[in-house]
Amino acid sequence: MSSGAQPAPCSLWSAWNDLFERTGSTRAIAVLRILVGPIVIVHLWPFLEQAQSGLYFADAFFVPFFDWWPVLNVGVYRALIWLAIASSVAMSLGLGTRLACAYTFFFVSFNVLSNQLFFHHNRAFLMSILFGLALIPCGATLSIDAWLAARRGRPLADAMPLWRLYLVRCLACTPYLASGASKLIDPAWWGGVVMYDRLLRFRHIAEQKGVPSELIDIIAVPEFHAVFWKFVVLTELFIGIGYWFGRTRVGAMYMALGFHVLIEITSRVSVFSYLGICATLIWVVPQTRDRIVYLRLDTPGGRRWVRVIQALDWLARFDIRPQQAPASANEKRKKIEWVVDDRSGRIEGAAARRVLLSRLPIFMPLVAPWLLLSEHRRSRRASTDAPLADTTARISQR
Amino acid sequence: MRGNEKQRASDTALRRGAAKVFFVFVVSAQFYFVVAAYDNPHKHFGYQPFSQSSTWESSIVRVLHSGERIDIRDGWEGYRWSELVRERGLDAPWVRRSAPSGVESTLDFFQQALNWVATHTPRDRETRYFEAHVRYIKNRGAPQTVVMRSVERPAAP
Repeated sequence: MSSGAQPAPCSLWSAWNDLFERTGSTRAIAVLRILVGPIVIVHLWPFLEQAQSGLYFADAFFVPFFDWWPVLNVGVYRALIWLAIASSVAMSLGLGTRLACAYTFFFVSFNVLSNQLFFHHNRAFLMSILFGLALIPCGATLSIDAWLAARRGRPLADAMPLWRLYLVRCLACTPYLASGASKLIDPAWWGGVVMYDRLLRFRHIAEQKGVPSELIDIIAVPEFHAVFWKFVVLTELFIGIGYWFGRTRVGAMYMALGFHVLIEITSRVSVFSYLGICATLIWVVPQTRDRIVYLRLDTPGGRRWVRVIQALDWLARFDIRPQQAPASANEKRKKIEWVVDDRSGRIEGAAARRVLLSRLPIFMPLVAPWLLLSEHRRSRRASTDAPLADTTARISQR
Repeated sequence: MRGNEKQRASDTALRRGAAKVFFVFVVSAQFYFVVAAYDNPHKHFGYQPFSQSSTWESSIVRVLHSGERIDIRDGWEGYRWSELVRERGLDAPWVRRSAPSGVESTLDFFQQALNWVATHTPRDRETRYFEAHVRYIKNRGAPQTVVMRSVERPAAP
């Protein structure tokens, strides 16, 4: 497998051509596939409930996107929803992965396009993500397909054409850029009027949800909204742009997590928040085992960490290798238990621990700010300490 | 042997060319939807959520061929508005509601709903058209009123 997340320094045109020649690992997309299955079921369930209760959308006012779009018999519609739920389960399990992903994308899109009243931006985003899962062959890892193929002695190749990933990345950053840009040029939004007004109108709902009245009193002033929502708009734009650069990617992922948690608390956005958080996986470097972790396997602590890493390294970023026992008492005093080594360099001690934990998805939200802070400090130090500059660049590339 | 290699190279070049065209097509289509959304009340695939804090409400009357005007809130000829129009908060227009997708989107769907109801209520032989008096406030602007009418129905023979 020829791989490479970081394009070699070259002209834009050759980078473009290069994109269509290189391949990368599908591991992170496989994790995304597993997580998106339940999200699709949550999305489809209200449609199924309606169809089961006899409230078929086509029996009332509806607006198809196209006049020629077929309107199904309610029995067929209900059967197709059940089939889509089954295909979502198969997609998560990785059983008949390509077909399951393709059908799930087909039905979710078909359903949304059947009625303009069904259209919401969170559903358009779901369609984009499902399009990506149908486009990228993501059944080669973490799937029943892969297990069956391995049993037959013909393991599946964990490789996808990299252009497909980049195409999905283009679609995945669009909601942030388009939403941020539209709000940036809308004086009512940029000035905070829209959200201030919404808060005034719906504060009773916020209070019912348990938000303290005192807190609402503090934020229910136009000055707060004039500043806060500018920050939110700029956050959206930062996420959409920051994802594209190695130096800002971790920051963008972290902002995306906070952004989606905030809108999940304050708005009704259906599956958008869950999907947005899961979609950060699209931005994971498409390489596996690209970092070597040296750990002391002769100590209980070392062995415990091996188990932790093996259990939580869902993206298969680390190759664990035994670290030599310290040869001398002097070396032992150094207490270097953590060493992370990749192609661009070797990090030891606390910095290695931070890098490692930040690449385990479950720890990423906790460790990312710490990592960003330490990288910032390194950058500042690098400006006064030339020999450190190379190391800093290497770390920020990760 | 050399012929096979040449054929393979040609196939690969063709595949890459097709992939490039597909890539450019999909990205261009997404870009088109984003730009077109500025001119589309529903912002389809343009990702402009929560664009407004607007609210709206409306009364609806049936205007009969005799000229009489009757409020439809309690139903007519066995029909109920909330059973005919169920989605997007259009089911009870006489209750003031938010229009988070934009008041333009709500009014466009509301106009289509009036037309749909006018053409899908065959038991009703008296109504000439439906008329709605819509009051809305766009963001924190001044209240506005518009009158909407459905398509006209032919008089019963």
